[in-house]
Amino acid sequence: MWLSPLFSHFANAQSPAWALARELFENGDWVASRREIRRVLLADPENREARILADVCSLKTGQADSASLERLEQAVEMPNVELETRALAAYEAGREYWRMGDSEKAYDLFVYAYRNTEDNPLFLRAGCSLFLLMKGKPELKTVSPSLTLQLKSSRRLFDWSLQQECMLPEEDAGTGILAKPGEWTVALYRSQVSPAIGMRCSCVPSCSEYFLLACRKHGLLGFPIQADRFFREPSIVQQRQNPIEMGGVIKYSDPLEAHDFWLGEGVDR
Amino acid sequence: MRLKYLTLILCVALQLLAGSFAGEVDKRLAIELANENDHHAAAIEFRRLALGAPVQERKGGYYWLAGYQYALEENADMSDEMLDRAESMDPQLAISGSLLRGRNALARNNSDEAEFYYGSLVNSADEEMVEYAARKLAAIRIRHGDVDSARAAIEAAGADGSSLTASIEEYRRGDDKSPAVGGLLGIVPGLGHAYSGEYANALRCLILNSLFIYGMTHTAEKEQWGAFAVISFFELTWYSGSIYGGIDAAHRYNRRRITDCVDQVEGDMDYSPDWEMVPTIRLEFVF
Repeated sequence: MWLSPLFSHFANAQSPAWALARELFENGDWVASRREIRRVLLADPENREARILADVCSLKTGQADSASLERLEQAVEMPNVELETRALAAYEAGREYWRMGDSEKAYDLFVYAYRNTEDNPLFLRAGCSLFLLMKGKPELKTVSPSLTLQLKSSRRLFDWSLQQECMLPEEDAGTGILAKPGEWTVALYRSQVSPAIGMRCSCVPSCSEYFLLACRKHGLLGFPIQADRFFREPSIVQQRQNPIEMGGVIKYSDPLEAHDFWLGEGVDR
Repeated sequence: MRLKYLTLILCVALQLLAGSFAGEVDKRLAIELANENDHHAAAIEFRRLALGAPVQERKGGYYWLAGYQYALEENADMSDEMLDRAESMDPQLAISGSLLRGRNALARNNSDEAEFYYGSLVNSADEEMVEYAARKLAAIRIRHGDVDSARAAIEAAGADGSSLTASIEEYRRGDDKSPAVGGLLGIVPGLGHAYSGEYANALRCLILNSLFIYGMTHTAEKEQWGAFAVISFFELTWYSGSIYGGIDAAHRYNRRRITDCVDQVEGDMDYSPDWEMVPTIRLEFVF
């Protein structure tokens, strides 16, 4: 009995790496979490949960190979792994298959995650991903009519921000229509004018980048914002405030935020 | 029997010694990372130390340090989460935690919250902390345009604030520019910029607008409608730029005035933990 503090000391000496790895995973710090999980795996290569989380981190950081994806898919079948971890593995593998265009596999994995998780955020994400997947592939709606009906009735739970999070990057609604004239102007400048005259702007971000940011944030108001930048550019260089060295060249910082802070969040969105 | 106990005690002592030595090494790594400004890595090392620390107070100290490193990394949410843990482990860390929470609130542009935290520190026992908090409080109030309260905060701190109050008075004596007037004057190209004292920008604005207006009239007289359309498009951009610039120049002018005053009030003050004392938190202030 009196030895218990000693045992707890030994136990604590073993557990911090795994506890830290899980915490970092929950924080969404994928790079650091992956590093910590690797530390855990070096000490305990048989730790299956750690292996699954490492593979999820690899997916999140774009460092995954086909073996990682296969392992995640197989994890769903592993009875000795916590059900919650299996659901997470299914969800992440499903997203990767969706990204790769394999909608059927993605559907099966999302359904597994949706039906097996007790974690509310994962439940919502899996449901929302299924909803969006079926929106893009209506034929999947016939696979399980009861599930389709269930998702349809839960639609109000999938708010705008959740849908944005679950959407694949290429399905992003993109910039508003009012940003298009600015984007076309910059595309024309970058393809036709810039190659001939080279990089001439002395500011960071460059004038074309500044214009693009202004148009994406404020729509057509980007034009007067950019005109104001042209008026000011020689003064910025002359005053030599906020210099930044970029590739051996001194440039001057003039962020958009310093000139639109009084406009609020933007008029375009 | 006695020998058995002695061997066991010796083993325990050796184990604890080895454990504390390992902790020292990890602590040094975390401190070195912090000194190298690798705040993210340092925060993780401090979290590792906190998870491994056997005593609540030590855990709290390490969590505070992790929060400090996250604050330096401008990861305000994680910093606050670490401070929550630190304060639950050791409630005495709430005072130094308020300093970091104020900083985090400012990083989130939540000046009301920052004012609350710095305001809670102006009655603390540590004189240096009081001066730091008072100056921060004054800077926040200047940004809110509440000059009297800013001056009161400095005076209440009881520090030698003559140069600080002089800076605040100098700010009070100056006049802000009206963005509305700047915008209206911008209808005449360049006048909006000139109103806020940006004469070079005003001249460039005037020249560009004049050239393009001349181009418009010239192409219209010659009935070159294609060229007229192109030049008009550019002129519309320059002209709207003149109005926008008039408004923005006034905002820039006002912001510059505030920034200059706040820089005077805040100076180069900063604080950092005494690394020799870690995980006990003792702050060293620099003014």
